[in-house]
Amino acid sequence: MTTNPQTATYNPDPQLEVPVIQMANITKSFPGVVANDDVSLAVRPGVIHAIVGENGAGKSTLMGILYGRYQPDEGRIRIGGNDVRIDSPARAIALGIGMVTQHTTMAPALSVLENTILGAEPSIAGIVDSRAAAARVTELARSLGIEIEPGRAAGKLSLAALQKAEIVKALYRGATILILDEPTATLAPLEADALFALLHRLAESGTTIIFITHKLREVMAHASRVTVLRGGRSVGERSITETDPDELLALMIGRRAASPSALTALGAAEKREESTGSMGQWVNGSMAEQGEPVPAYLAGSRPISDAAMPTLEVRGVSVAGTRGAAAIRQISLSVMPGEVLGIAGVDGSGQRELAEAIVGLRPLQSGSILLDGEEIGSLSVGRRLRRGVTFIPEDRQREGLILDFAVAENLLLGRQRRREFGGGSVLDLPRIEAEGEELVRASRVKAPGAMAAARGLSGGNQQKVVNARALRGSPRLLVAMQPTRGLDVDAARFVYEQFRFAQDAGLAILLFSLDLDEVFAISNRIGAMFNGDLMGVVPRAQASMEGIGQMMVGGSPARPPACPPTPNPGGDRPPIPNPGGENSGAGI
Amino acid sequence: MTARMRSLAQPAIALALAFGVAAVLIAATCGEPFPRSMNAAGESFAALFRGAFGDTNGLLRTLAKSTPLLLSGLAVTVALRAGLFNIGAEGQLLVGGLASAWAGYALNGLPTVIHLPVAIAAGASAGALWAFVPGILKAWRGTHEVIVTIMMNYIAIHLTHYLVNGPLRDPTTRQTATPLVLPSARIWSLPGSTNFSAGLFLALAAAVAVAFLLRRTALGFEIRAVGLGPDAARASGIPVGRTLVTAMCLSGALAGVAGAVEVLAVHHRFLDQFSPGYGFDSIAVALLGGLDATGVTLASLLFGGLKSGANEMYTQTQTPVQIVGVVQAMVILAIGVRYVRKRRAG
Amino acid sequence: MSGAFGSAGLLLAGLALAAPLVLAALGGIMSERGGVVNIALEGMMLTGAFTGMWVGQVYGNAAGIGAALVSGLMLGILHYVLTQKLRLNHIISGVAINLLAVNATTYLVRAVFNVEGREAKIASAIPVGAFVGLSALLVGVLHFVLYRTTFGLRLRCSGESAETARMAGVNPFRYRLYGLMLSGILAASAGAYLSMSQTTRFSDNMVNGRGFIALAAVVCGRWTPVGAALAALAFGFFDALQIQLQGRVQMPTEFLQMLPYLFTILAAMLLRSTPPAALGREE
Repeated sequence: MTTNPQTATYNPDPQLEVPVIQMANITKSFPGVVANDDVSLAVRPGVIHAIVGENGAGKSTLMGILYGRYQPDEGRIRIGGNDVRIDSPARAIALGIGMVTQHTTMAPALSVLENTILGAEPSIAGIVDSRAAAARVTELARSLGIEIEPGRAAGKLSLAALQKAEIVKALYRGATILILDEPTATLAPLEADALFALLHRLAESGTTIIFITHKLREVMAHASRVTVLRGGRSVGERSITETDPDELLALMIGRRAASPSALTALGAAEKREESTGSMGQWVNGSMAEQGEPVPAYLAGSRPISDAAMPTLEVRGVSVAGTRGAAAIRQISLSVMPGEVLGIAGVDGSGQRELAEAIVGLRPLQSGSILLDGEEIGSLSVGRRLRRGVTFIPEDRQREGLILDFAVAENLLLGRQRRREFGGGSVLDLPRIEAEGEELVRASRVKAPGAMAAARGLSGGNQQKVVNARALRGSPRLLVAMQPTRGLDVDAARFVYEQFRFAQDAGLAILLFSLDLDEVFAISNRIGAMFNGDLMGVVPRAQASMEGIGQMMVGGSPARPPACPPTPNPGGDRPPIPNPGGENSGAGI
Repeated sequence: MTARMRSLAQPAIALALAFGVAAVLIAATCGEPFPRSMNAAGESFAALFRGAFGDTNGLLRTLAKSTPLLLSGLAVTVALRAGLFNIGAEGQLLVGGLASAWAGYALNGLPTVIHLPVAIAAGASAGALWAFVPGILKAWRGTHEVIVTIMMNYIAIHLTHYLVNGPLRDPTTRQTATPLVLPSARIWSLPGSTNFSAGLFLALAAAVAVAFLLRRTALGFEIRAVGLGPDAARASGIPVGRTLVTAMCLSGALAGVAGAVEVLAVHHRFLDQFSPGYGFDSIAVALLGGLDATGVTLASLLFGGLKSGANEMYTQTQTPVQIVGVVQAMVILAIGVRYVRKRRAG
Repeated sequence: MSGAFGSAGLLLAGLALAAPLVLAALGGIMSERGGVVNIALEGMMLTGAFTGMWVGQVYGNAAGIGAALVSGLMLGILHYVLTQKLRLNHIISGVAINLLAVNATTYLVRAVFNVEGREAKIASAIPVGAFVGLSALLVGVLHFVLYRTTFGLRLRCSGESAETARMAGVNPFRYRLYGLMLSGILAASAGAYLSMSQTTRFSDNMVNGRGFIALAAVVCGRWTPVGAALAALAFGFFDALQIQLQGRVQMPTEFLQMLPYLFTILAAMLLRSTPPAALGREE
């Protein structure tokens, strides 16, 4: 059974301003939450249409419904003017819809070619015609100005290269409608520019593009229309020429924008950006130069103690990656007591390896790690924890929590042998429960009680449990990866306040975040990782978003921030691809 | 329906389903036409239950059969709580039985208060040692414990067969067996053919100990943490490998004690291939009992009853005893679905 | 140790012992490459052995083989329904199917054959060479199917990531079902070989762990048909050697009989390999 990838049931005609996609009155509930509540959406052919909203606004659910991953409880969908029922991704593909999700869905062990043709294999009597397949895929990629290596395992590609391969995959299946979910979340600024250049070319050739984002600057720079979702409802649809970031922000966050105390982290970040207007300006101008005000509680400007001894000192640490090659090389850094060192970087640049090396989850190949001047590089995770090294892991559901454990048990994890809980033999259950209740209250975890299973909590509240455990019992050093992921803006602000409070008590924090705004908001010093190297560390006052953005794709921090961005030699392709040019190949 | 009622209703439904399938199998093979064939199934089950629970002797036999099932069911429970499938309880039970038999007959001149505990400890140690191998391979190399425990079963069968045929054989008997254990190492048992012994109380004590371990101790907390969330356990400093090995050794020790009780209380010697598959039945016992000490105790009573009633059923109705195994397999299937569902729902 | 006759004999004996392991291991691959752990191979083999003998005794060997394959197919579908539809843990499902197979076949041998005074035996054996040739042929065929056909690609993808398959419009459950059906058929054919070719009778629990050894061959062969076949051959020759050495070397028989199992543990320990990414995962 072979579907012809060239076939698409609908050919959009840009001349007719009839919406190619109409979603009317879509309602979708999941247990305990209404993700979409009477949402309507109309997208015209051949345009770039943005869908914006905060985390949890229902953007991904709406697009999941359009791609057939979820079935709406109510509502109708029309594609090209015809009523359709999209009950599976296969049906969506047949209707000419392609989707590029936030995280790649390519199977890492299969080759790019296999991933691309899967389900639409050119074949004779069930035997894959792999030569024809390779030719067709390579040809399609070339016509888009993308270089791909069909034979390479998808798991060995950089995230930027994977995303391009995903686009090729969607178009190979004859997609005339392309949905991208947070496409720039894991890209460095320059890579994001290249992606949008590609999307503009596709739109010009007639492809309809929908992209989900919560970054207003991307909307203003690249979309021609925008739909705003808030709390599962559609609160407005605008043409970009008729709106401005203020209006969109107001729509996105609703009444809260009116109250100054609710000037949230996200809001503040977006506010800063809106005045820069476009992506180009944003890249060329630095926040610091423009003198944007940063809320005092966010600025990493508090004085750092003059203690001679850093809490954490990392000296020349190298760590093996999962596949044996060095994942991080010769990294040195230090964090003073009460300081936040923020490390920016595209996902997969070695942050995870460095964090795990510091907390003891990965053995060092070389180098040493000192806590308050004492070598801890060969101690176990448990011993490091006892000395005050705590960890907020990246994947809260897998590494942060035991979902079937009660909240109080999750808060106990790692401390179950402490003297106050029974000293390693019989657990003091009443005390564990009582202290759990207290922490749940103090950390504003919304849970029925400390003995409720963590599984029943929302993602944001699960993150709060992980954070509460890491801050429990006056630790010396906190290694935090994405500590506010999935939190709404108020909750994120609460986390920053908790950090600040712990900093005042002398806690050193090493923060890894993919969110540049967050790094700038709470760090005293800022560094960036690229491809396993720490590219440099700059004090917050001298850091510019542009400079850090350069470092994230391999640029040197020494380069003056005013210098115009140059295509970096080791990084990914420049914004305008050169179809005949050599493949950069350097995975980030 | 309350949660408590549901937790009782579901095993009941599973049992009904299992007996239903067995009834169909009996009816289909008894050689009678349809309506009467169902009578045959009914008669078989009636004989089964009479044999198991019908009179005092039947009840005592049931309790005796439950004893090794309870101990080995607890063994599977402890390992599975740590996320490990100990399919090797049978092998651990065999080596445990042999070790305790050896300690029971070879160590001379000890008073009972020393000799008996030593013999039981020998069984526990041998079982733990046998389980240590899959445990350490899992922790050290990530080798799947299912493959290793299955292979260790076969090795145990051949090894004990060799030892009891050769170096440890009692030359004065025609059975393939070790010499009789000394009276000082025997567990008290009721005279007669019921095989009821004080081993039951040892098994019940073990159930209490396992419940306490899992619910109230730091080690139990770690075992549960490793079983439910190995990555989170590792990230929070719990030594996952050591916990896995510890849980596996505890599991093997319990299975070893099961073998020891059979040897020291029932046979008074190690008989070649004395176990009618207790180690395999224990998986069904553990799952039916919901991996909880109380549940496992009840499940072992039920399966003990099936085992003790099966012989009565065969004498009275000539229905082969393996039908009980079919019931057990169906119970695992029906209960397993429930168990996984429950875990999923949290 | 022995002359040319001995080593040729060893070769033939090794092939004869390896054939069922190869067939069952191929069955294991078709299941596990789709993402379903299959320790039920043992029970599928035993069921195939019993059904083949039972039907073969009454209706002839061809019908017996056919019935054996159908019985394996049914168990494959059962394992599919339990693990994929009812979301039962793959290992629990496998343990239960094995327990069911061993008890049901032992029960039936007594209930059907002893009652009527018949022997659990067929009239004539199918030539061993037929099975050996078939298993060799199937290694090549399944290698081609796995790596060169749309079915193979979709099956492999279902075992690597069900999400990938779904997003590409491929229903992973359908391919897992096909994989398990093939798995059951292959394992049952291995069982039929034991009762209809290598011997002509069924005896209690006659598979005796070969299904588990086949599964170990799958792991040692890194989930590839050729690799698993080589591992199965190694086990087969090891077994043949062990049998030949009995009585010739000063070592108790039991120790020689233990060797294949020790060898399996050693191989599983040393040949660490990456299983299909979605193997055994509950979604």
